[in-house]
Amino acid sequence: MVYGSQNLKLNNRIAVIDYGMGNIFSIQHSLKYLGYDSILTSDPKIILSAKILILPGVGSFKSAMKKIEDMRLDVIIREAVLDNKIPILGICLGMQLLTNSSTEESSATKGLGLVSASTIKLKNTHQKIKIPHIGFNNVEFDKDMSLFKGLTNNLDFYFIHSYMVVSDSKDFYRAYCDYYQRFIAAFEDNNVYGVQFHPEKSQENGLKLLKNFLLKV
Amino acid sequence: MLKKRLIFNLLHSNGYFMLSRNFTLQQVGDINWLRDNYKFWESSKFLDEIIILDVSRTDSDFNKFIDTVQNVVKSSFIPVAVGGGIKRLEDVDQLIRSGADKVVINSMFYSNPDEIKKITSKYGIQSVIASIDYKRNKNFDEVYINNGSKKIEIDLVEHIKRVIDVGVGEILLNSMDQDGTGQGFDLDVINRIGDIKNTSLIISGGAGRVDHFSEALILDYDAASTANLFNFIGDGLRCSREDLMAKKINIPVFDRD
Repeated sequence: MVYGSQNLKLNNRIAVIDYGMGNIFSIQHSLKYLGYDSILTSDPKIILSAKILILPGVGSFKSAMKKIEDMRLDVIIREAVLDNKIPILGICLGMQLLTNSSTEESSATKGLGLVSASTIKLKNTHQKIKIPHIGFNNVEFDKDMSLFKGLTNNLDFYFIHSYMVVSDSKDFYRAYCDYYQRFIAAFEDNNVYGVQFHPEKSQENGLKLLKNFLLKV
Repeated sequence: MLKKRLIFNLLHSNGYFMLSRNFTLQQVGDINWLRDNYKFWESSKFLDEIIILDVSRTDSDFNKFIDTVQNVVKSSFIPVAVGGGIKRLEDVDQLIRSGADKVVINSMFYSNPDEIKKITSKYGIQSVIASIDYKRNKNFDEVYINNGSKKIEIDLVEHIKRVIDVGVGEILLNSMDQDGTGQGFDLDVINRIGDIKNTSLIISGGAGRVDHFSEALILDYDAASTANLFNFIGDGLRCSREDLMAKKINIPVFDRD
């Protein structure tokens, strides 16, 4: 596949939300490779007027939410997504942060609450299971999902996580991963998108998915 | 299903990539050499992960190392794990900011496990690979730290237990006996280290032929790694991948067009 930078520029309207956690370098570089400039920012004005938001994340839900709340970004992100209807893509922990809450150890931490889903620890369902789930795993998806347009079913994506997103709504189970249990690999809910895997670390498979997201919105 | 991984390990020292044989280093070229002569970025399409280690034996130029890390991250779209000489949380902060997805830590698991707990509480245990250099003795395996220069008093089995207690996402087992020989991996090590079935295992040291990877990955190893530039750059990685697929070993499937 050939990517050109000439016709896809969005003039810094892609905002990668900076709250001090996440593999921002790789995400921004992938966007650039696909021909898109992006801005790493925690500035409310830029976030509220962006065309696309990306929420990265590595590490613990609790410390991420604390940083987001300390910077008052929770209010800003909710306004941007719910009122201004800006499409947002959460990656890995970023996807989990979009949910209502996470149960880490015994205490629950409130999330951004942008989708009716929550985050729990991967279940210890088998004596051979390795948690964290680290590596490439195939993803099965509904062909009509816009994120996976043009991708062959069951291709692999890179996962690195100990928690998973769960929901009572079956609309969230249109792209799932099988690892001694079925869990949500990606979801699309109006303008809120999430991927549990790292598209920026999944070779051509992930680049195509990122491009689908950017072209769709 | 979780797939097996093929990993390339770049050994770096002050701006140059190195070959290692039983932990003796030989300088082979810089990043331009890697790109121009070995088409490394093309080869990375046949890899599932890259490890970059700063193996400088004397003072290393950290800025040059960071520069190399960023160049590799920019040229590949797979996970990049980075290590060598990590001494504190701040080193990890800087590596992660520079594009590292995970860090590789060796000596500190022995010398300063408390600092590792600070790292894992900030980034999660999945962000840390414990690298262990070991050498076969008659009835047990010795463990070495500080680039293979210092033997510690506990053996491999005990050291792995401690490493898992501290908390780690993956363990990279590097055989110093096999390192750089091209004679194949120390396939039996998995049988000597006891029950560690809940932590991912990467085998390293000794790959020299295309089919050495399938010999390892047909066993219970999660990934196999090589640092052997001369044997695998060029067509070697593509052929290794084809060999794994032909032997029905489950490796990631990537869209290629």
